[in-house]
Amino acid sequence: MVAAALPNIVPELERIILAKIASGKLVLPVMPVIATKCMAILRDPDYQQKKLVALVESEPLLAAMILRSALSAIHGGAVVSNVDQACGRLGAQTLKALVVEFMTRELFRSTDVKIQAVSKKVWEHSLAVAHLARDIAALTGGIDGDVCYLAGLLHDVGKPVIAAMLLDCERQLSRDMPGWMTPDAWTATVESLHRKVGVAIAAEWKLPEEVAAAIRDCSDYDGANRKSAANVVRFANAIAKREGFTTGPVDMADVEALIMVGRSMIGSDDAVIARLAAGLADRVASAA
Amino acid sequence: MPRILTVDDSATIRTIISKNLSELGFEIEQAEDGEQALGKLEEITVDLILLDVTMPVMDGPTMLEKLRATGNKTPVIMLTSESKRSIVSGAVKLGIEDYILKPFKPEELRGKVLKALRMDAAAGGATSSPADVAIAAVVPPTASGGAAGARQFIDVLVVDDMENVHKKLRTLVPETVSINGCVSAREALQMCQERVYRVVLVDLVMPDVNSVALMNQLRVLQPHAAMIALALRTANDIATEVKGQGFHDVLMKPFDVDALDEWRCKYFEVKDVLSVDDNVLSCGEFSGRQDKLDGYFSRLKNMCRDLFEKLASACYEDSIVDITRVPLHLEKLPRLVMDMDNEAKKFGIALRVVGNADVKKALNALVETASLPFFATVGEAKAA
Repeated sequence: MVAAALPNIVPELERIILAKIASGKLVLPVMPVIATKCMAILRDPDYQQKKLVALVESEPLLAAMILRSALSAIHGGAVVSNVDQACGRLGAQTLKALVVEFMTRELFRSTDVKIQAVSKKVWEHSLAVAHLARDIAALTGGIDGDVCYLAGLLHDVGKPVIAAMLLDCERQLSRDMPGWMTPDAWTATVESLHRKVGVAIAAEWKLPEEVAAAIRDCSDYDGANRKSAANVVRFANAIAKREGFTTGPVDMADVEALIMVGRSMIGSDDAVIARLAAGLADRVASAA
Repeated sequence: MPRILTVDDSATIRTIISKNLSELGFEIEQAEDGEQALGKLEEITVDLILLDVTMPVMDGPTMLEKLRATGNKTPVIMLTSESKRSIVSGAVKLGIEDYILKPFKPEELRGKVLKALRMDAAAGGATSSPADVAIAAVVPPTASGGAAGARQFIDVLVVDDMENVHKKLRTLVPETVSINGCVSAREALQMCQERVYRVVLVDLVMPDVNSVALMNQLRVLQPHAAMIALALRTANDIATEVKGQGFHDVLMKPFDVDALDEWRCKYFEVKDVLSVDDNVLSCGEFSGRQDKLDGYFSRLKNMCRDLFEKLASACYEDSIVDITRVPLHLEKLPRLVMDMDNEAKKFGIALRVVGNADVKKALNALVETASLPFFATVGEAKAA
């Protein structure tokens, strides 16, 4: 009788999750305490670097990310020998993005093999989109590259969260209903819900509206605001997929369509796209 | 000459596309819907189709589907305000070459059309225009195949055996105008195969070369470029003579600054007089002698007229004109704005004016300009 029950479970599950999101009762990943404290310092109009440095030094992974970013070519590539110098070089805006990246990275980690397999692909895809989005913003001008980077990083952030929710359901149901969800239904559920969950996370983490917009509307371009962060992320998303950073089966005609529209919408050409994509795999591998 | 079919229910857009592309030397056919286009394609063959999506009688996607069903593989560029991925994706599956979103910039239209036509020729498609045949005839054996791939766009090629002519021209035109120079016919042919030029200047007196024959060969390689003769100053009516030989125009040596200025305005966007960003036109400062002030105002008016036409073709319904830096001439300034408004209205474009308090006072002098929406900054005008 399991087969007969299958068609009804997925829509019902979607309905329950959507209702929870709407009522604010969905349990969303909380910001790690250290990240919360860092963000509070960075949002303070009287930002004090010393306080931030003390906090960052207590979290080796975050400290390493900040040092690596300060040493990278994008920030001049000059030598920095401690977190204080690194924070000084990067500035509050970039540091905020790095703290969010630190938090986001945690969401894509799981001890469960099944979720980890999905999350790894999504994380690499997200990194590719983030790198491309920041480069496109720099080439286009007039768009905040850090916002685009964050939006790229977070545009699929709902996916691992939904995956974890489904795994919980599976653990509770599988004794009574083995094979309760087919792989296709699993993918469809993640695809249909991840944006709403992602937007809810963006709100919970008090991220900029442009980031939430990029997560919310990443299906079609916004013709009214051609050079928006959301449009840059859509364009980057399509390029990343064409470059092989996918999270599942891809309709290449759809990807080509998004690239064609993006080229005209944002004002780019094939030569620029080729330059953006060059070395992308290496950049993603070193950041992953 | 390659033939292009533009399919769009807007007569204005068809006209503007035709104007833009016929300036590049293409032959343009028009259809106002998919059904009419299919009918035309039964009678004629074209090298490229520019296709709108939403049209009465038969829309673009339906027409494309029917066209492909007959085995017709003519390259198609979608030119539309529709950006839904489902629609564009369907068109990609039917083999569209490229996509242009309205409103568009003329450079994008020209660039994508040229690219689509080159790709078609490189793929050994059905194109067999007289231009292609002639190109094959003038390609030196050593350079064959050089036309494949993307070609660099350069503003000017100067063909003159005196190298100082290129150098002098370089000092007289702004850095924004890109210039290549060469001193022999062979070099000129080679460069015209490798790059795309907007204007080609050919010296009328080249050693061992018939300049008119050379110009005709270069024209085959650069069908979209304006061919300008470079001639020494003389009392003869050289302009009429060279135009009779096939040149578009003549430029006298040694170069005269005013003549060069006129030439630049004719063939290039003169951004120091008027710059454009989407639908915002920003008038530049006047820096010349006072006796040239009339010319400055007249040039602004003429440039605006052309730009309004382009904005209308790109589906803009309004335009912001920033006149903050225009000299505060109490008679000429309001007259200029009134003329601009009249030109804009002809294309159905509503004008919003940006300026400071003194400009506003000056505009209040004329009934026609006093009532125009006025703003202190471009940002405020955009937000209105």
